[in-house]
Amino acid sequence: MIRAIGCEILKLRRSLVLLVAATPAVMVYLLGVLAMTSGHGAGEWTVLVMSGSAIWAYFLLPMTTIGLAALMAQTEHGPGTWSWSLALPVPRWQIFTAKILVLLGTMALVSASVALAAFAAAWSALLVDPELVIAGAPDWALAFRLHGQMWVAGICVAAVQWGIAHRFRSFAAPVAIGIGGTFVAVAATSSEYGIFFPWLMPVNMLATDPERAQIALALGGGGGTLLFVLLVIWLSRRDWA
Amino acid sequence: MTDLPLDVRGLAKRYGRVDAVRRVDLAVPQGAIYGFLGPNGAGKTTTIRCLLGLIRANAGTVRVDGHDIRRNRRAALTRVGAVVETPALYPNLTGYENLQLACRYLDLPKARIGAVLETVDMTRDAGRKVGQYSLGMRQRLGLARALIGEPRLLILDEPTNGLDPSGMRDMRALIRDLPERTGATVFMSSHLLSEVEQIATHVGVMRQGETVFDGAIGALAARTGQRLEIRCDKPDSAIALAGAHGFSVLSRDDVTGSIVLTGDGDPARLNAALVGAGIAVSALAPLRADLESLFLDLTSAPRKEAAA
Repeated sequence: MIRAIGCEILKLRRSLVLLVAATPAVMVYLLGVLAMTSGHGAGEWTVLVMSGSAIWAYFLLPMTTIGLAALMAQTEHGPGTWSWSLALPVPRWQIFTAKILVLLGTMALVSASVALAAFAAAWSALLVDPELVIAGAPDWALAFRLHGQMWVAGICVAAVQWGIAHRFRSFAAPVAIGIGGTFVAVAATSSEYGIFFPWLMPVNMLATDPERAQIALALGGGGGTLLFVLLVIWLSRRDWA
Repeated sequence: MTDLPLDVRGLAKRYGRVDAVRRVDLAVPQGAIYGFLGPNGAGKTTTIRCLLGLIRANAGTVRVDGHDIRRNRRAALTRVGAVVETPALYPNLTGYENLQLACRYLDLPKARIGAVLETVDMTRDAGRKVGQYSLGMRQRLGLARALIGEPRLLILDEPTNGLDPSGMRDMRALIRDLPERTGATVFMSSHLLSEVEQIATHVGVMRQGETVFDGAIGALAARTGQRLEIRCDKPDSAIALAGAHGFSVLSRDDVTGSIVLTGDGDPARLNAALVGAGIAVSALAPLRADLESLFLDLTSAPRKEAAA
């Protein structure tokens, strides 16, 4: 299994995955610096963490998931590539599970980098404008707890995107589904049933009702893991014509 | 270990109501270069996918190195190297890194990379990204990757497809030497009859999803009757006489005066009869049946035979 994971990481060398993975943190950082130096930023460290997390959960997390899942799948969708990978004397479930673990690992790293980027933006703004005041103290625990929960709740949307990206050869299918899902999520944020919509599960980590957040966490993490397991079984057993 | 690295019996694969493969029987002996021939749509690629366990057959058995591909896929594929369709390489990686991937998957020492690069004469270009390779270089690197696990059976799907004449010649030479250099048995599909004729020791011919021949290339040539070419001044009379002596006409060219006959008659008696009838015979010679004519013969007639 470790060998298969190593192979998946090697396949991403010099690919666009690094660019996609770095984009959210850069965006959060630049947006934070611009907002704070123009006088529109958060005046408190806690608000700063929450606003950075909100941007991540609403837009950047689903968009990053689309990009990473689709790019990783595209490495295998070249002519005959599946034929080579799946004709190896390696259990197919290991090949697919390694791909999932690399995607989730990358998402975890991106989540952490986004959390750090919010703080880095604030410190950069303080350097640029020494008059600026941010009340309170940097709340590392809150930031990493929120981003960690969003990562778990985002497993379901990652499973949906990963499944579509691996089932369909075309780049357009996962991208269209992902954009559609993100759009519906924005439009249905306050819906009572939004909690069951994969794209809204990470957003619900910011819900004021703790029960709602717990349900979204369980559905996103548990449902996503179950979906990944089913996808691995299905992809391992299907014909690769 | 078995004397048949690849043994296929009664293989059938259906997609909905369409029979992609009806019945395939193949016996590929150890050390052979086996040419797998058939017109487009005959079922060659479907068969190859079944051999590699990429698709599940509806009926029949595929035994690779003695292991049933359905029951024991991993053991069956342990000593198999394959290039299916175009060589499936990762263009963002260098040639070396592509081979490194195969090494990691198969848990092989890195020393194998240098060895196979040398076999396909790619050592110098191994550090370049595969995206910058020519098709010929990709084909050779694909072959190197297939060889990296020291396979007992090498499955190549149209290995010279898309190559220029010199690339084809190089690839042919490489494949021809493989059994001796690596000990691998080569199973290659091709639509280029001349290519198979030059390097194959055995052939399998597919027609409409069925094998119509499976055996040594010599047995294929022997199974057709003798062919004679005659040139004379009175072709109509000559054909009538040939019919009376056990020959029938395969082809006739009135421009050159050439008539190609096939049959079990005695050429010397026919010659004497032609001369005796006052026909001026300028040439009478046996023709060696080439693979193309044998192939056309097999794939145009609904019959099925096997030879040892």
